[in-house]
Amino acid sequence: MIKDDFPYFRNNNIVYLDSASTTQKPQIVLDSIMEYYTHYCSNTHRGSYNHGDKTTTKFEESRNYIKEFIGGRPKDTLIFTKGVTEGINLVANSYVKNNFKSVIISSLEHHSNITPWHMQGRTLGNGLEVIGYNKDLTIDLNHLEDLLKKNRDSFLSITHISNAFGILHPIKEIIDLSRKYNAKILIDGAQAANKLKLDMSWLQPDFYTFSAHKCYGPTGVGALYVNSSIINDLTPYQTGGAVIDRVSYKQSTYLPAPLKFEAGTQNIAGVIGFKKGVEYIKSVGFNNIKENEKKLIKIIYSEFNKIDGVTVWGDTHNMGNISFNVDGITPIDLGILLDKQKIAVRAGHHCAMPIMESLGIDGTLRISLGVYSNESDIQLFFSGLIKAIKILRG
Amino acid sequence: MSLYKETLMKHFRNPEHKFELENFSKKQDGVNPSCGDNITLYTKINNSIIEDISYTGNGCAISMASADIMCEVLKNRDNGVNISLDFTSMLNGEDINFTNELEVLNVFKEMQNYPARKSCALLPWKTLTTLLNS
Repeated sequence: MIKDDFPYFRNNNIVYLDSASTTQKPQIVLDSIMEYYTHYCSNTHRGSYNHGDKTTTKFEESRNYIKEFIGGRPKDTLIFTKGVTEGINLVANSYVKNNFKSVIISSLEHHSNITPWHMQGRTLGNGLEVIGYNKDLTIDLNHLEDLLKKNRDSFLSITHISNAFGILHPIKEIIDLSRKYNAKILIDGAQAANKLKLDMSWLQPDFYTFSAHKCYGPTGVGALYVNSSIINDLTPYQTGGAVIDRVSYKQSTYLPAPLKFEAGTQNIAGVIGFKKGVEYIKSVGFNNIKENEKKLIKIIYSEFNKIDGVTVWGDTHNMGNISFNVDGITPIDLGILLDKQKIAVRAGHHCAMPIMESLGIDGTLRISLGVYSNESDIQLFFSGLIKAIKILRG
Repeated sequence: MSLYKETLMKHFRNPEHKFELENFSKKQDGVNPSCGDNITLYTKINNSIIEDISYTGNGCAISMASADIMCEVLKNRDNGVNISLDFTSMLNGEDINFTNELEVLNVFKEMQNYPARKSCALLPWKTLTTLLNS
């Protein structure tokens, strides 16, 4: 049973349905972090001693493994970051800032792909454009093409799978469209990297960013893939130790990428754990992950149909993040009453306030699946939900 | 599920004071920015006495039940601000026990254990304080 791989489930009798927020960590991830701290703790790229070399080797092995995991080519670059938020901020500051008149985003973006653009003084219609959506929350590709036509040479920054609604964007089609109008493109893969077999050599975006903690790895670490065709156009937006070739009082020169983008001591334990997280995904297998989610989503949609007054948002091709509202009841009340029954779900706007406002709601209740989610979790969730609704409706 | 006591649920499910008062003399909007709960209070005040009070709004069970109970206990009273202060202190952990017609307010004592939900229970009272001080 997959749950046995996760100490969290040994220590808690909880139905955990908030994996879109963060996934639980398997024992192999925790062991790798503990081993680093207890057996060879040292810094990277500097030591003149055995453990320093070992740490550097492990760190770079992680880089290569994770790059391969997403189908990156050897000539492409993988930069370690704190996560998707830092990945987008890095691109915004090191590449987009003064080089692009327009940034285009979708309606389903997380705040982390909205506010970095506001920080550059871009507002709707003034350096920032937002792609419309269809009734089922899928992207309006005609509108995207209109925007790309009107804003040639723009920068498109878009999520692969919506965190709030689980909508999968047709990312290959979007990349191809962006190329037609000479746009550069960043993809936020926070919700995708743990469930889709990615192939950067086929997709060929300019940037792809994702976080370890949603890939069964530790918090505070992530990766930014950069296509080899543009890596030399990026300038570091922060500097310090570990990125420097030579420094004099007159000037500094930087190490080559990716090191020049990784200022200061990195989250070494995190990077080592990150590799183990994606190894774990591979060991479970993308097909198994897909089949399990497909089966559970079918049950979820069918169970929702049995409850009066429920609005389930998004299309029927959901990728495992299912958001819903119950008439006359706020998500927070349901979230708390589910928590009392040891069922962990997410209530609120899911860091996607603009789309919530556009739908005329303050937020939703979201259930999201992980590799360990099973039919029993879903049954317990629905019996808990029905009980919570009964308490609130009387 | 002690937070969701039957007394609260009764007021949430079947509110008695959730409507717009006719010929109100003062009205005040209140919002809880963290969760979006919102309320509008309507009052008829004569010589500092709240002769009538009602509310409209949208929000969680706790905020709506709190508004309904507040309207119930404040009718024909002139010390709304003081009750509001005591209610806030009770939620902040002070040993306050309401008696007589105000006894129902003790049901919110439990909220001391749910810091994230205090603002829900306090929304109508904060809105009332703004209204009475304006």
